[in-house]
Amino acid sequence: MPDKNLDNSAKSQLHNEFKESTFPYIDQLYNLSLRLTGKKSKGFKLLKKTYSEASWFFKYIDKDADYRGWLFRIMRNAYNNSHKKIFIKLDNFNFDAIEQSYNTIKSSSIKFEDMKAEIHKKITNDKLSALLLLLPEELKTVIVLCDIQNFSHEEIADYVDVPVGVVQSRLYKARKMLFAELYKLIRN
Amino acid sequence: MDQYTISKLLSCLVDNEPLDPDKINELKQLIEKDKNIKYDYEVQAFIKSLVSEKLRMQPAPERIKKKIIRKVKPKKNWLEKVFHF
Repeated sequence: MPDKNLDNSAKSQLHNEFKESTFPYIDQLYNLSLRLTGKKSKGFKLLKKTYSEASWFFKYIDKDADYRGWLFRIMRNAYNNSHKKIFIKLDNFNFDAIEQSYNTIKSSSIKFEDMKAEIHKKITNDKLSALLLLLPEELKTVIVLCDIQNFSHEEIADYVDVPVGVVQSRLYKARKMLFAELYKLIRN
Repeated sequence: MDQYTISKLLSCLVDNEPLDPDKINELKQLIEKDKNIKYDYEVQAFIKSLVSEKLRMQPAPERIKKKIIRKVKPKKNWLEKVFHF
């Protein structure tokens, strides 16, 4: 952490405080970086950038701050800044086609239990992971934070900076879309 | 209840989010009576459990943690390196 005014022992103490406050969340951040970027090397770069930025600003943050929330917001901003050109944005996404696909599956004669069993049997972790990457960014983020990281809706709303109702609506859409895409995948 | 409200409430129910007990009862009755809503609820619950089961959290590898620690460790400036203080 660069600060020319701190002597070595103060720097060392600050570094230790930083480690103690932020490293308990490294596993969660590592997983989020992997799910957002889809590649270990890119995930690691994002994780490194997040901790690097966090270490710069650590001395300015309140000691009783929500470190997890702070770190996740840093990661979110770092990811958004480096990937905005290639983002699949929800606004530009044609959800009507997905809705139609979903309704066709719904009205088909195939029993839901049979569909579930077939999806469970045929879909590997890698295939599901790859499908997750195809979701619009807004939907991908909420699914990862909720279903993998077990964040509450309120926490997700805080980190993503949208109202709770929007988070709930995005979760509903994301799961619907994943279901329609999974069904298409097993049929092909 | 409109479809948008139902979709949000279904997310809450599937994720065990705190909800007004009257709203929970109303939603559960809707799920029992309306097969479309029941189907939507089952899809939501299924996808949540599939994703949680297949894409579990993994601990960050130790070598990654060590690299991050090295990256954020305070570095000596050139004067400190030369004069060892």
